[in-house]
Formats: sequence, C-alpha cells, structure tokens
Amino acid sequence: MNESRPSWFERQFIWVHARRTAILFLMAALMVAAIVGMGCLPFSNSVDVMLPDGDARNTIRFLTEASLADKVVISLENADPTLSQEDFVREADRLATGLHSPLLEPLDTGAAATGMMENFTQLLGCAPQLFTTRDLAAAEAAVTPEAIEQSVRTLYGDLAKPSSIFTGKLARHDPLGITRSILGRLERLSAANLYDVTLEDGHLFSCDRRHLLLVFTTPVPLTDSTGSRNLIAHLDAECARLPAAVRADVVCGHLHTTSNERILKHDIERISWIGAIAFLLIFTGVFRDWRSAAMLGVPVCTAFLALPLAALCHSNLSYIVIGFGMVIVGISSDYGIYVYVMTRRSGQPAQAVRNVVRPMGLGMLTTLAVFIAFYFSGIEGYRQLATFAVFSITMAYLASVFLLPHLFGDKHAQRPDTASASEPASAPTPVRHPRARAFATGLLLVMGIAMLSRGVFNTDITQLDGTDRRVLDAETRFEKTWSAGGSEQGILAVTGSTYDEALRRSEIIYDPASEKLGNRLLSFSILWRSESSRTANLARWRDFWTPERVASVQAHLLESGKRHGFTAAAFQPFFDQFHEVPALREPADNALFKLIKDRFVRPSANGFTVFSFFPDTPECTSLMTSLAKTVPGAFCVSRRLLTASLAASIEHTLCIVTAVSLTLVLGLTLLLSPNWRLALIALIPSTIAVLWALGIPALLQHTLNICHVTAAAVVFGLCVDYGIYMTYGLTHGMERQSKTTIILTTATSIIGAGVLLFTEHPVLFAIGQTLTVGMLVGHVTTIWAVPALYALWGQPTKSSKRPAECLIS
Amino acid sequence: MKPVSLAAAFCFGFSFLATAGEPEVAPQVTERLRQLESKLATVQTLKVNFVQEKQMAILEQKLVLKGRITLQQPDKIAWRVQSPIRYAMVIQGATLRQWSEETQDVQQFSLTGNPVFATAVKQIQSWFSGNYLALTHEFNVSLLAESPLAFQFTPRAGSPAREMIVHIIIRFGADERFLKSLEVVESGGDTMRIIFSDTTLNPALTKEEWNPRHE
Repeated sequence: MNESRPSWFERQFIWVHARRTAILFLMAALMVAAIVGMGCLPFSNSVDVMLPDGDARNTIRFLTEASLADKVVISLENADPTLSQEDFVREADRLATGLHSPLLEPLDTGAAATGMMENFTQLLGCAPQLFTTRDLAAAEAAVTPEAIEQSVRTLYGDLAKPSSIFTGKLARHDPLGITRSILGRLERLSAANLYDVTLEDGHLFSCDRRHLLLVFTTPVPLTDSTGSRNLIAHLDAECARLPAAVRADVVCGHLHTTSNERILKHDIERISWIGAIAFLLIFTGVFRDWRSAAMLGVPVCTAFLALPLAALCHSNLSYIVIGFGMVIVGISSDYGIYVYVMTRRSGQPAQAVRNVVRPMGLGMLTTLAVFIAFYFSGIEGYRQLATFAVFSITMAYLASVFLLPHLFGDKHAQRPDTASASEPASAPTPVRHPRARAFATGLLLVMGIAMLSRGVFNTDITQLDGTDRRVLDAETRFEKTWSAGGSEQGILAVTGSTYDEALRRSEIIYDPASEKLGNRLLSFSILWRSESSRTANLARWRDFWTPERVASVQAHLLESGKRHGFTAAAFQPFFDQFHEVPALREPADNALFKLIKDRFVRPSANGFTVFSFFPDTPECTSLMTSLAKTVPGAFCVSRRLLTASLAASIEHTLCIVTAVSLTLVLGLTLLLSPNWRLALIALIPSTIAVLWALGIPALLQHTLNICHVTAAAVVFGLCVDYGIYMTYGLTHGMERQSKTTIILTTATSIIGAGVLLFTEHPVLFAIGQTLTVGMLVGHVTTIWAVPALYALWGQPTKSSKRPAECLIS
Repeated sequence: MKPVSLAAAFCFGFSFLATAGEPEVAPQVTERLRQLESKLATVQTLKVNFVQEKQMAILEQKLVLKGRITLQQPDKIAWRVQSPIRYAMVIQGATLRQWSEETQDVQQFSLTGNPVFATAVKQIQSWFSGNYLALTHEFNVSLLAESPLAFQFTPRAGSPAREMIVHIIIRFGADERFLKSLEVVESGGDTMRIIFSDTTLNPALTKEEWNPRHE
C-alpha cells in the first residue's frame, strides 16, 4: 500500500530531502538576520508586563507615570558626629550645585514663600467665587451687631499675640472672618505634609537635624533607558564626591528602571553563557557525534527566529521573555534528541522518524497547550512568552522531524520503508516490586499535596520587582527618616477632556465624600470649583452683600472699632472690595494658587486629571471607590486596592490557566492515547511534578506568586510529554529508547530551566526554581513509577485494542 | 509600589518652602555673632519680664503689653502677656499650645508636617535663644554699636520676611548674655519695641512653667 501511494508525511519528507541544502542555508541566513536584527527589537525592562491586565497594571502605570515621573529626592545623612552642622549644610549645598544640570532642576519652592502675604490677600479677593451656601450661613451670623462687636474684641486680643505681625494685615481685609473659610481651606491644602520636614536656614531638615533633604525635578521620562542611565550616572558621580561622613540616599523611579534593566541584562548574559556551556558539554560528552551539534543548533536557531516573529505580534518584548529563551531551547531540543535516539541505530532513519512523529507531535501539542493557555492569563508578559514559545517549539518540531533525519542518516532518507523498522520491539523489562513502587508513587502524591497545602500566595508586587537591594534599602531608610507616621494615602484621580469638566467631576465626588471623611479628604475641590459652581457662588455673594447690608455692617464696625481703639481707616480694605465688581476668573498668576493647583491638577494625554487624597483605610477606600464608580473618568488608586486587585487577578489567572491547560492537555492525552488507563498513567508524573514544583518553595517558606503558578503550568505540559514517551515506549517494546530519550530530554530541559537559578531577578528565579524542581520530580516519577504502574494496570487485556494500533495508525 | 507612593506622597507635601541663600554678612560681624552665641550658650534657662510697645496704623494709640518670657534650651519657650489682656503661648519641641483669657481654651498645634508654621516658630526661638548665625541665611546683619552691643537684621531679597519686615534691631546688656531690647519696623510702617527687664539667668524652672494656663 505504502509503496504505491506515499503518505503525506512521506511526500513532505522526500520534498525536504531534495531541497535540504537550500533549506539549511535559508535557516542559517534567517538566523543571522535575526541575530543582527535583535538590536532593533523593541525590548522593555518594565516589570508591569508581568502584572495582570486591568486595575493592577493601570494602577502601577498611573503611579509611575503620573506621580513619580519627574521627581528625584536625595536624603543626606550626617553620619559622623564630629562633622559640624555648618559643614554638613555646606556639603549639601555643594552637592545641590553639582547636581544642577539639564538633567536635574532644583525644585523651585520659593515662589509662594516670597510674597506670601500678597498671595494670601489676592486669594481672599476670590471670595465671591468661593462663597458657598455654608459660607453664606456663616456670613449671616457674622454681620449681626453682637457678632461684629465680638469680632472686633477678638481682633484686639489677637494684637497681643506674637503672630499679630502676620494676622494684623489680614484682619484689615476681613475683620469679620467672612473669608476665614478660604484661609482654612488654604491651610488644609498647604499643611498636608505627609513627611516630617522643618525648614531651617533655607534647608529642609529632619527633626533630629541629622538629615537634610534635596528635591529636584527631571525632564527624563522613566521609560527612557538611556536618559535614565545618564541621570543615574550623574547622580552617582556627584554623590561619590561627598565625604565619607555624609551618606546620600537617592529616591527616584529611574533607579528602578536602570536597576531592573541592568539586572535583567546581566542575568540574560550570565544564563546564556552557563546554558551554552552546559548544552555543549552534554551534547558533546553524551553523544560524541558531530551530528549532535545539529540537535542543539535547531532549537537555538528556532529560538532566534521566534523572537522577531513574537515582536511582530506585540508592541514590545519584555527582557523576561529573552530570559525564558534558554528554557525554550531546553524544551525544543527534546524533539531533536528524540529523533536522534530513534534514528541513530536505524538503517532507515526516515522510517524511524515516521514511527515516532505521532507521539512527538502529541508531546509538542500538550506543551503548546500550556503556552496557549497563557493567552488567557490576562498578563501581557505571559502572552509574549506564549507567542515566543509557540513559534519556537513549532519550528523546532518541524525542523526535527523533516530536516534532522537528513543530517543524521542521509543515505537512507530518500524513501520511508515500512518493512524495515528501526530497532526490533522488545517486551517491557520486568519491573521489580511494582506494588511497592506504586505505593511510593502514591506517597509522593500525598507529600506533594501536603507541601502545597503549606503554600502562601503573596500578591505584593515588589516580589516581581528586580530592583537592586541597595535601592530598596535606601528607600526604606528614606521612609524611616522622613515619614510623619501617617497612614498610607489613596489617590482619587478624576479625568476630564477639559479642565472645567475634570473640576466638575471632582466636586461631584468630593461633596458627598467630604460629608463622611471630613478633613481626612484632601482635594482641589476644597479650594477651587468648576465654572458653574463659581457662577452660583458669585450670584450668592451679590445677593448677600446688598448696598444696604454693606452700609449697615460698615456703621456697626466703625462703632465697635472706635470702642476698642481702632482708627476709622483700620478696616477700609474690607469695604473697598464691595466697590469692585467681582469677576469670574481663576487667579492663575497667583504663585500660591499655582503651587496648590500643580499638586492637585495635571494635564494628561486626554485632557486634565484632578487628584484627591484620602487615607487608605478600608472605610475610606471603600467609600471613595464606590463614589468613583458613579462618575465617568474617575478611579481610585491605593495600595489596598492594588493588593486586592492583584489577588483577584492572580486567582483569575490561576483558574483560567489551570482550567485551559488541564482541558487541553487532558483532552489531547485522552484523545490520542490508546486507552484511558494509559492516559492516566501518562498524566501521573506531571501531576506529582506540579505538586512538588509548588510544594518545595512552600516547604522552603518562600511565598508563591503568579510566576510560580504559571511555571507550574509549563511543568505540567512538559512532564506529560515524559509520561507519553514512556507509555509509548512500554507499549511498543521501546522502553530502553524511551528511557534514554527521557533522560536526555530532561537533562536539556533542566539545563534550560536550571540556569535561571543563577539569576538575580525574582521573576526569572521563581520560574527557574519551579521548572527545575518540577521537571526533576517529573523525570524521576516517569522513569521509576510509570513502568511499575504500567505493569500493574497498563498491560493490554485480550479484549482491548492493541496500543500500537491506536497510537500509530 | 512602596517607592512609587512614597515619593509621590513626599513631593505632594511641598508647597511653601523658602529659598535658601548664601549668607552675605561681613566676616567681622559673623565673628562677633559667633562670640555672642558662645556667651549666650552659657544660658540654659532664663526668665525675663518685658514691655512691648506697638505702634500700629490701625490703632488710635500705642498698644503697650506687659508680660514675661521663660526659656529653656534647646526647644522650650513660654511667652506670657499679663496686661492689658492675658494670653500665653508655649512652644515645646514640635508642639505649640496657646491660651487666651477670652476663650479660656488651650489650643494645640503640631509643627510636624507644617514647614511654614515650624519655620515661624523656629525664628521666634532663634531670636530669644541667641541662634543668630542661623538667621544670617535670611537676613543681612550689620553691627550698629559695639558697646552696648547692637545689631541690625535686614531681610534679604527673596526671603519671606522681607515682605513684612523692614528691619529688626537687637540690643544687648553689658554682659551680652541676653537681649536688652528688640525693635521691629514693619513694611507697612508699624513698629514694635520690646524692652526686657529683670532678667534671671539659669533659674530653676518648674514643670508648671510650660503650662499655658500657668500665671
């Protein structure tokens, strides 16, 4: 039959054979192009690709881009008691001067302090626009003759206070405290420091005066790797000039950018060298055959080709994907090894490949199934990884099946011949103590469950951040030194296409929220409102201050003032304001207003964002979140929300990835296995491997994160391959070849994953740890337990169909 | 998250920070201030009566206040007005408490997290504690007289004080261990003069001295 009508596989095999040289040259050329083009690929060092889509990722991005982007803060410590305060300050000034450059601009905070009184007075002139219903009630109470008398008496009393030098001038503009609420609002917004600083001699000191703070702004975006490196180099160079007695802790987002990138690049370089050496050693040491180089060459080549293809499918590629490259090489080299082992003693390599193409394909599909499940993870980093893996593994499989046999046994590869098989089938080797082994397998399963039950999932995203320990330590010291001991702050961001729309939306949330949160809520709406609100306030002011009322108040004020020794002109500035026509305009040129506005309002890509701040407590965060949902363009950002969002996302990811990968892998295994018992036996190593892969970190008291979970899914897909190869070998009398294959493929896969144990980045390390443990356990279980289980329950009965007939049609 | 929220919160807090400047004080004046500070440093506690005269545009007549100042290094000061009204302000470390006869209430403020308020209080402490070199960052200082010693402090351009104060003159007694008088000329033309008398250096102070309600 086969002689007269070649199968599809045979036709393709022959077609490739005829063009093998051209194909090899083409692959080599493409690989060279891919290597050369690597420099042009859009790689990203951001850790947020490893965060689930949605709230968590948006939160991190928002915090990174909106709040931290342009600030560099340096905390200086006088670490030597013999260094005088003057010398300490001198060193700080010298550092500030040295840092001042196009990259770093000292924060200009003196504008409002200079001309503060003028700014205050000018803002009081905006009282008509800020005259709320509450102010109206207070004003009505303040203009009675009794209240006026009381106000003047209080004013006189205030002159005895040292603060009268400041308050005396303000009193002339508002003796009755009509605009006092505006001052209160300004005080709330300006005194809301979350950090302990005292201003002394024009410098910011900590309470113990041993620390001094320098604040800069920088035009370098966080996403600019080169700019960030230059900025950090500039900071390092200037800080290095400080004497040993002065220690500098720099806090800025750019340190995270450069640190993550440096560690990832260093990790990739390190694992590439270690992996390359390990692979070469194993291939040259074990096979001692020049052709084995092709086995290594194929997965390396396909990995390089897969990178640009993956980059085409995504806007950028995380460095973490490259870090995973060695794992992919380890996985995809399995097919070459399988083909090599099956063909090296065969007089007809093509025939040998034809016999194993189906179990190899099943193994590839189960592995791909896991990576395909990553598309449902909701994590961009895993989607990138999946694309890279799918391209790489598929190409490696096809190259192993159609190309490698021509290199291994060229002269026999022209026409597959079913008559001559590779090696004669042999009966399975008798298994000693199969029941004891089965019992031990059960024990491994129970131990895995017990270990995993101790596992604790951690949703803290700092676990995914590979930033240098020194940077994190500096931030911890900074917080310890400067923290005012306040609670964490949550942020309400309200966006609008126009400034006025953002203001209007902000006050829709602020009004009900302030009813419950009071002074704990800080918002720009405390001071400034949308145009419609200010128009209403203005009308309210005009209605209240009728000429008759102004005249009456003036008469009473003069009378009371005279009684307490005030001159007739003392309160003239107060009355002058009623002769002016109040205008509906923002005091944009007022330095004080500008400073406050800059803190609470920022232009964004789609308009404006107005920020409010609230304590990140369950009560406040819940209230603000529920209110934010009622207003378009509003959302809350807080550590509490972030943690909750991450926990929910991880749970979702865990469920989806597990469900999809289990369905695909189980479905494929059951569908393509000769019977359900063999399928279950093939699945046992992967099940135990997953339990141990997650259980060992738990046993070591490492908290589990999303990387462990997704790596465990990969373990499942890979170890299913081992189970399939082993049951295939047992059912086809090829147990020895299967064992050899499994040992070699496990070795390469473990090298690929094990090199990640040499990495510093927590994401790569967690993946490496899970994969290495999982594959080791999966390997041992496959070699040691599957033959025993097969001997006990997998042997074909007389009535059952022959496995070979099912697996290889 | 931590670094991100930390820096965001930090930067949010800055609003009214004054500009720093290099002191522009003649070396001999600086040296004289240094000598003065070292003499004043021998005074750890102090009690002194004062008469404060305020000439203000809004008042028909000069306002004369009488009271007492109590001081303990490094960070305690009590300012008590006894006539014509009664008022007390006590600063202890980062806390300010004040009491007035009219309200009979003690109000308490924390200077923590409020750099403007803290700076104003720090300046009050500096004038009476004798930390004059620290003030040279905001004021130009000139020596008015050597004996009895007198200095004039003029706010420097860009300093917040310049908006309110034309100059401050401080005069010392013969032993140069505490102020004899302090005069302030305000930018609006108002003037204030405090004359100190009955100075007791390094007296034993009771805890009650730091109670704003204390007589």
